Order: sequence, then C-alpha cells, then structure tokens
Amino acid sequence: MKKIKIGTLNDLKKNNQFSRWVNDHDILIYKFNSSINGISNICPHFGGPIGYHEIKYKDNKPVFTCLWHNLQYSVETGKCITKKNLCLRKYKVEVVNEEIFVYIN
Amino acid sequence: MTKTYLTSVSTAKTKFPKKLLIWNYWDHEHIVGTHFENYKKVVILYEDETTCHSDRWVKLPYLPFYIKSTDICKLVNNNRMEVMHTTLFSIIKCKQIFVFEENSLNECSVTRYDYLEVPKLFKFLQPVFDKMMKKWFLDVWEEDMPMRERRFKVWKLGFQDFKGIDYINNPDSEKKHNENRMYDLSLPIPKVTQTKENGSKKTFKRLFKRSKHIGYGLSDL
Repeated sequence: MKKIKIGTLNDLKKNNQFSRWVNDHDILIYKFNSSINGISNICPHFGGPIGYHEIKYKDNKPVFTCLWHNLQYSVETGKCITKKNLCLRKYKVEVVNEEIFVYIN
Repeated sequence: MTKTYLTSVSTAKTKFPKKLLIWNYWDHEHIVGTHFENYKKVVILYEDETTCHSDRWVKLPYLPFYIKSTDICKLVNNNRMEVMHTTLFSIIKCKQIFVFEENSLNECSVTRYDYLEVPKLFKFLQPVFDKMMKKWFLDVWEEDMPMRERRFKVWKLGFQDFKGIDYINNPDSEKKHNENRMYDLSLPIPKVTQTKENGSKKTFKRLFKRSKHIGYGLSDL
C-alpha cells in the first residue's frame, strides 16, 4: 500500500466532502460524525460520481446519491441501498499536519 | 389548415467513440439523474435493442412549466437515430434526426436536425424555434459532457457495468490500464432504479428538485 496525499483539511471546509483522482483511484473524502473517511467515488453501476451531491437523508439515514442514476449508498457503511449487492471500497485515511493522505494499492 | 415546419440544425464534435455517444442517448435512466433539473419523471413504456417508447416530463428552455412528451426513439442504423416527440394532446409534433459520424480515430460528431410541424401562420416563429432548439442542444450537451468523459475514463481503466473496476474492488488485484480498449455497447441498457414496474413499463422519478452541487471532483494535485 502506498500513502498518497489527496488534499488538505481546507479542501474539506466548504462542503465537508470532496473527491479527487489519485493514481487512477477516484476517492471521496468526507467528514462524518467528526471522523474523516475515504470511499471510492466510482459507482459500480455505470461509473458515476457518488460525491457529486451533498449528503442527503433517506429514512433519516445519511446517503450519498450518484448523480447519473440516483443509486444511493450509506454514508456509514458504503453499502448500496438501491441495489443491495453493490458496495463502495473504503480507503484508509490519515491526517498529518492538516494534510489528508490515503492508502492505495 | 396548411402545415409547415420550423427547423433547426445543431452540431457538435467529440473525442469519444460513436458507441459511447449512443450509450449516452440510450441511457434513458439517467434523464432523472444527470438532468434532474429539467426532467422530473420518465416512464419507459416499451424498449428493445432499436426502439424506445417513453413518456417524459420535461421543462424546455424559456418555458416555466413541465410538459409531458411522448417519445418514440428509433435507432435506424449505426449512424442514424430518429426521435418523434408528441405533446399537448398530440397537437405538437417534433421530429429529431441524429446523425453520428465517426472518424478513423474513433472520434464522433453528432448533428441534430429538428422539425416542428406547425400551421403555416406560425412560420414567423422560426427564429425563436431555432434559438430554443440550439440552446436545448447545447444545454443538454454540456450537462452530458462530463458524464461521457468520465464514462470513457473508467472504461479505459477496465470498468465493468454492475461490477466496477477490479483493482479498486480488490486491492490485491493488478491494475490493467488499457487505453485502446474498444468501447462496447449492447442495447437496451439494463435498468435498476425504477420506482414502479409493470410488465415492460418502468417508471423513473427524480429524487430531489434541488441540490448543492459538490461537482465531479477537485483538479489534480
């Protein structure tokens, strides 16, 4: 696993989330319940961007909604709630001196 | 009453293969996703590999309300698609012909020809119609462009529909970057987000009217 810089805490300030391509991985970094998390931003359905919209709520639970076809994913688990067998990969995230790093293969 | 046609022609070039453009046009499910600000509902009444019959609730440029349009979309051949829109109790009929031209580098251009049948006395509306249709073409084109770019990008990284990318799903898997992977298309495109299904009839609804757009992502570091 390589440790790669993906952004800074300043990138998170405005929307509590951002996405960026690093080494052919499109990763969505987001702040939720005070922790900073990373998941794949690529919808396994047709490849749309999970983090295009701000976080929405479905049945009082926070979800990401893919822009292209509205597939929704749990913010807490990355599991798809629209099509149950789909899931987003989680990335290990580390914050060092205001900089955000992800671990990727 | 004597009829005439209001006409308009719009054209644009891309760096994408023809099959990817056709995928975009035939992905009727994305209408209430990518274009959620202009479409609120799509009902696919019938669909096969060359035909799609649907009802769409659309807001056109300069009009402040939604209209229901019944559309029959036909892929006449690999280079030509024809769409007939009928609205307002079949009073308004608009035919669109899309012509796809792909060069030897697999870059495709699209030209759209629009024909709106009207009583002859409305011929004076020609400049307004032309302006409206060109704006519609451009608006939809620009909204779809990042979708095409992204689709092409993930495709070259090995994306498979309903699976994703192998090296992302499985960290132990080796990355196989293939710039020359030929774009493949099989119609009709499988659908999963319908809110209702009754035989071949499928209903797709937009989930929200407005949204704060975070966007497609930050630029490279």
